[in-house]
Amino acid sequence: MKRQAEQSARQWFIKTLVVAVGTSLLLSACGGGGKSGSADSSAPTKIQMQTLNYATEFIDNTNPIWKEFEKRTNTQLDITWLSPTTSEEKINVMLASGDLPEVTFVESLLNPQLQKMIGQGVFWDLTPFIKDYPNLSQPALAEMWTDSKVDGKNYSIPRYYPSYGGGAFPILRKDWMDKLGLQTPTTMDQFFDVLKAFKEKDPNGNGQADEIPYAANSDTMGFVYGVFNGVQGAWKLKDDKLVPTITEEASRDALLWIKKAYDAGLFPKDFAILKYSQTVDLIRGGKSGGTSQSMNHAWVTGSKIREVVPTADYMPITYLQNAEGEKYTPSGSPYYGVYLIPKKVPEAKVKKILEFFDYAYGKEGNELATYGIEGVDYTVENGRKIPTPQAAKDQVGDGNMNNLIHLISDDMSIGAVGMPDDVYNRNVEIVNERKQIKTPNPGNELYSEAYNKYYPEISKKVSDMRTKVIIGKDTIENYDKLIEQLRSDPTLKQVADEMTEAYHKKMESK
Amino acid sequence: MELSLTWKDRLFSLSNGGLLILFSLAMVFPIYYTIVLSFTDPTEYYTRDLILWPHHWSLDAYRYLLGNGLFVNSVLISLFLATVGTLLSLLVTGGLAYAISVRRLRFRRTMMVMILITFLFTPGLVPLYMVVRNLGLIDSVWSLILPSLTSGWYVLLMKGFFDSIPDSLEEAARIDGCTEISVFWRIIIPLSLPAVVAFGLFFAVGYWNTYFNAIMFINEQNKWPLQVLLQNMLVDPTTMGGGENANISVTMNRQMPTETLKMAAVVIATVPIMLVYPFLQKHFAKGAMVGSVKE
Repeated sequence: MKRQAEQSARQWFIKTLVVAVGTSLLLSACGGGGKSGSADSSAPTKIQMQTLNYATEFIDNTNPIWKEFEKRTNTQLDITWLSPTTSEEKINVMLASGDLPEVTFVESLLNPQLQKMIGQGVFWDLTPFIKDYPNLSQPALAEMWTDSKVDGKNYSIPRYYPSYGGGAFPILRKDWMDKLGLQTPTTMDQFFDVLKAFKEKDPNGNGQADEIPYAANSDTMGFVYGVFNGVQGAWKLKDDKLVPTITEEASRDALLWIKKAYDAGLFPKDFAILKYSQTVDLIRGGKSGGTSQSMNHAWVTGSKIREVVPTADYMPITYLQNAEGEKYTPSGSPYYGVYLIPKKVPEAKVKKILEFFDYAYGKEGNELATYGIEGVDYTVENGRKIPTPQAAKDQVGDGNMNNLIHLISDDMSIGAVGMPDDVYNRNVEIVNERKQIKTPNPGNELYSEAYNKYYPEISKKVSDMRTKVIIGKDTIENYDKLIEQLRSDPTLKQVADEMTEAYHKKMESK
Repeated sequence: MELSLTWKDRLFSLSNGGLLILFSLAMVFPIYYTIVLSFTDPTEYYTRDLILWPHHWSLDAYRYLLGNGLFVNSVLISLFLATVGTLLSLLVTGGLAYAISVRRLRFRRTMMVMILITFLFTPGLVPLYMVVRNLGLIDSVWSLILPSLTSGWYVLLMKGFFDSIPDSLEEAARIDGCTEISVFWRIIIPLSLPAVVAFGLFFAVGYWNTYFNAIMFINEQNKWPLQVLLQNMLVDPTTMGGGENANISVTMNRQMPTETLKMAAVVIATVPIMLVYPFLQKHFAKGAMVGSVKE
């Protein structure tokens, strides 16, 4: 109910945006002239920013790490934290009202409103400046800059995020596999057999068949479609054209695999209605053999299982391959969210802001944001940073300053607080193996209006049908009929054409 | 003959009563379950299937919620909204409704039409945001009260109630020397107490549940009302947004709140406002029928 209401509110809201934005642009343009940022060069520069914050408690300008940043960069920071659960609506309203901070954070570059505003020239083109900043142009960030180009230009400073280690992909109970003498699965058939053994061979040894082999729900099984299609995302490249994977034969095979597993009792019975957090609850209870999570959950969730089953070992798998031998492993864009500078900010200040980000992306600033101040928040022993009690008081760690700029390291997606060395080292090994696998994702970061407009509805129709087929409420014949219909659907064709066009445009500008 | 009738009657009332009891149990059970779960040890929740009576009672969830400094703060904010906001809302709504219920008021029809327009067409979020921002109310608790002071619907409902008070009463009061204001305070308000209480309750619940305006207008965490704070503490970001974003946010390190914590939060968020009901019950029953019948 609430969700529906929210959705319709959002739809209505998008319509109002169109009207509002014209006015707001006028207003913001008028307001721009008054401010002049270039003051005395020695006085700290005031910078307004806004970003997500995953911490439960937000810090303010009395926090020592915040102050240290100001001191080292000669700035005066005015940061507005956004709560991740509510940021989407808020960012959209801010964009629409023209109420843009000097450093505006948007979660996705594909935000339709943002795309329009970039087209209208609301934000600075940063392309000519970046090369002047050594840390921003460091090789480790090169991919991030290329991937975030819009029409061949960098309008934003992306917020780094490691490409590998994240994404929902199986993590299995290694202790169960060892007990039953099973190998880590690499094909879908092996994966099925492992789960089947979890069900039948009593891996928890209590004499009852109470194990739930895989704590799945419809969302967390998305990777199966990826494995069968051999691609990530909703698009596949065929004859230089993007085609939607939902109408592919491979997706039908994937659906049948999931149905087979469901019928064999490998998933919870209430599969269709479970929420993600509920599947995690099942895993934490120690009765389930695995679920789809990012690699850091080897410890984030794994440590919770150990509270119930002390010998539990929760291990991410490296990849799964399909019948053609195409390997699938999840990977994402090398950044998450972007920072943009509106044109109302004078050029001198743009350079100051870039200077700040250059510092934050450098080794010193990067470590300051994540670990705090050396000798105060952490001490170095044998090359490892050991947090002191002060670290907790200063709110160092996940969230806060670390959410402004992420640590340039895979640890973002594979590490976790308190993770023991063996789990960490194994994760490093796995992520390095995963990096050898490049599962194509041709539809990634492509912007199409038709896609935003029509695709969600089409995709929902298909996923509803899939769920019904899996739980036996509908037949595969009806699914086939729906897919047949979609293959000749003009709107889906329009979406595919636009996506193909966007794809070629992106390839050319690279 | 007569005996069998009573037997049938008995059977009827027995099955009737039985059904009704089952029915009310179905209503009460979720509430019971929520409360019990909030006092259950988290580990026990994961390992047992359905908990009707926990083996280990635990106050962990409440300790965690109440031990949070921001939490106490947000309760105070919510209480402020629910009291000050409600009083102001009642004053504005009552005053306006009374004014337009007085027949000799000039332009009464025009005012009614203008009020009607506000609930037929809503301007939307973006203009509202801009108004609040330009008034400098961002990050002020008043941004949660002023924009929602009254609603056209409530004004018209309340006007209907005032209409039912005979004009002769007002005349009599005036003859006895009442001024315009004292007619309102001494005659109209006491007579409309059921309506006032009912609307007060509507407003209080509304203010207590302030959420959407707060996420839009309040950035500073220490000014968040309870519902926003609870949302931020308890909802895992992965269930929001969806699509590619969800894929990425699954990777965030944030520890998921346990189910017992969520239940404790539900209890804390609902109990205070539920406690108001019994005290206002008698008025409320009458007040809810405001406007339903016109004599």
